[in-house]
Amino acid sequence: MKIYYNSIKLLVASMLIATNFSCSSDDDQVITTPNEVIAPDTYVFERQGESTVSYGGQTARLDMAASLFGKLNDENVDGASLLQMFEDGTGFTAEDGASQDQIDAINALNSSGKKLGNKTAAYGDASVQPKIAGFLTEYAENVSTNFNVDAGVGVSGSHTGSGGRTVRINEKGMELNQVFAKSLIGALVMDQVAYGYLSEVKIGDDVDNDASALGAGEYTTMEHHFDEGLGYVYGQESDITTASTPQGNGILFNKYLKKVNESEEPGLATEIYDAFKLGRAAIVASNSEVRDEQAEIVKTKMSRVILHKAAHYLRGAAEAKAAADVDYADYFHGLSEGYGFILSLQFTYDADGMNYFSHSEVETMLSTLESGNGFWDRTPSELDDMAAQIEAKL
Amino acid sequence: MNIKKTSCIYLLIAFLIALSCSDSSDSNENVVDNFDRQTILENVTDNIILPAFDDFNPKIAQLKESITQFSISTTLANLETVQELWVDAYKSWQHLEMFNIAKAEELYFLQKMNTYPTSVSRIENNINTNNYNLDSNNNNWSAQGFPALDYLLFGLADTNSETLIFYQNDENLAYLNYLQAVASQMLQVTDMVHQDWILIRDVFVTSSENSATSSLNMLTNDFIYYFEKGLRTNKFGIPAGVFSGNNTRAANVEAYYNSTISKTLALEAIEAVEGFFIGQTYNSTSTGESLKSYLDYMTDNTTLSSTVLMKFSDSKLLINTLDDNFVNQIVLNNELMIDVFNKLQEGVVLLKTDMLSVLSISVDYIDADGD
Repeated sequence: MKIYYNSIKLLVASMLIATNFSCSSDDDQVITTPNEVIAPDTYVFERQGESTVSYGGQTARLDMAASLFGKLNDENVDGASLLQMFEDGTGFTAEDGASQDQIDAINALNSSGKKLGNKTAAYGDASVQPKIAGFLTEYAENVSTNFNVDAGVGVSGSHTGSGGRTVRINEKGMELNQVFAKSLIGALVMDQVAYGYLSEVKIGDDVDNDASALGAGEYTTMEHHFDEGLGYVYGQESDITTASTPQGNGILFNKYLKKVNESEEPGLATEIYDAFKLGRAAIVASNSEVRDEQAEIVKTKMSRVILHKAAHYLRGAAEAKAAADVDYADYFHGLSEGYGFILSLQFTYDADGMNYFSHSEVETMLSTLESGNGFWDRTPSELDDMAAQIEAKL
Repeated sequence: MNIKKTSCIYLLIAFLIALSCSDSSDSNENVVDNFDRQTILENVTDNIILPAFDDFNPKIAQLKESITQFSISTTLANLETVQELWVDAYKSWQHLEMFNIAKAEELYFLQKMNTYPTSVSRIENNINTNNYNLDSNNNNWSAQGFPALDYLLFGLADTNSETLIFYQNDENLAYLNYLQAVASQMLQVTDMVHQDWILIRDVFVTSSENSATSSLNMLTNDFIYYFEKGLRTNKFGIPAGVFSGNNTRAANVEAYYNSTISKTLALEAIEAVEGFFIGQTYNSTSTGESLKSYLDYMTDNTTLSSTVLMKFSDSKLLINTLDDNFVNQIVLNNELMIDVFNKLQEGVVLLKTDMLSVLSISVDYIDADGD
């Protein structure tokens, strides 16, 4: 195996050399731009020795999502409490046996003034936010109340698969904690980055970027907007300087960026991190062209994570359903993740600045998944077809 | 997809050969696999699996008997006897959990004996409705075995005297019945798996070829799977919050209601792992043919096997620094739990990637990354 790889390398190398020789070199004239942009090694930006990078609000929201997610596997939860956490950003409670640090962190969330609800699908179709909030109430009212009921076709409850996984599902086989979390990857993270903080309105030329009067550690409005976008992707990293290789912390985008970077598309994480870095440097250098180029890279590359995972979970569910002895817990779990990633597709951003799948296309896919008895009824070929439709965009 | 990829590679290979690349031989391939793999199976079966069952099965029988005694006479002494036998059997169990093969796999022995966290809600529901099937309803895996007994023996009250009062109350007779039902189920499944091992021993040890269904390949896979999932993920990763966005899950600690023994159980487990790897006779220091000796033969040195053993001993050192009670450890300083997880993960990589590549054994399971 090694031998072949080396041979390929040699082959490629010799082709490159050949190309070099055959090309006349007319491209070595230095093009000077008014504001040259040099990206720093890591995402560190300072003014008079103090960091100007801040995204605490984003970290708080990502933490809220994780905390809320944790409640969606409990028995007899109260729907109003879940909605309070989601819409008001208060009422979060620590898990049993949490450390003092964790309890402090939860208290800090409750008093952060941040909330998920008003940032969910903020730039999307108006029906999406209520739909996502609805997953919370549905869990509370229809699933957590049936905790000890054996789930079946048309019956919500618990199901333990042969592999040992236990899922709490609604009557269509949907595991709502997965559906909720994966939906937020698009509706919160992707939407806020692509159509919010890294869009014309937030970082366009009309946004204040005058640093002339700023003191140590102070930032311009544009700089801050850009950092807030970054925060949705890296807000739970313990160290932003190493985030080029994501830690996969939390339950949202970063977790799947890490996975895709380790399997489907190695190098993607570095491309996204580098684009954030260069884009931010461009803002400091007041270079609109580089800034906008890099913002486009961030948005299109981030979208690939959602495309990859939507297809991946559909394929996995198709395979699980095709097995001789179906492990329904694994199947429901995977397809629920797929459902959320599909919902997220409407918040993606392609090279033309459009979503890869429109709201109505997404709705069609979701209602296909839910039709009849929902996940119980889906066939491997239906799921494979849907996966192929998504893979075609990659 | 795979077919396409494979044929592309073949085309590429053909193309490169046509270009007359000079070939050089890979040093690893020079070692011809003349190792007698059956000797590993014989040693593991005769000196580890069967003696471990010979030890475990009577312990479960005693445990069940003690529960019967307790239900006849609900005294503090009888309760304490049950609790001690439960601890003792739970420790022995750590040496068997990895052998999720043959009858054990077919009967879901592992799932029935040690699915945790136990579901208190399900146990209570079973007790209240008195309508449950522990044997054939997967949904009841979390309502039986050692973890269910953990709850019933240590989780109903804060102290033993309060627990005793609970069981002495006639209104709670259903709890005593459930305790017995759980113990009976444990003994029944253990008997069946144990008897089957005795029955299949000869066939099992002769299935030593290198194929996906051969005894050695399955056993090796089960061993690594246990190391990754049973030990690394279940005992450390999940409670330490590695799979839940760093939100710790103390209730997922093994033996949560009597969590002062959680470290003891984890140490037993890593001893079992090490014993299997070096082919050490159960409850003895003598060793025989094993994955280690096979690995040493194939690599013609002990570099890789020593590195693996180093990871085991480093992990043990780290575990020994922990509080006896992992619930306390998680609350006090969860970082140390994560350190163990990370050290065990280094072992997973060595076993799953390096060792399996040397032994040319394929992985037969999908990553247990908790997702």
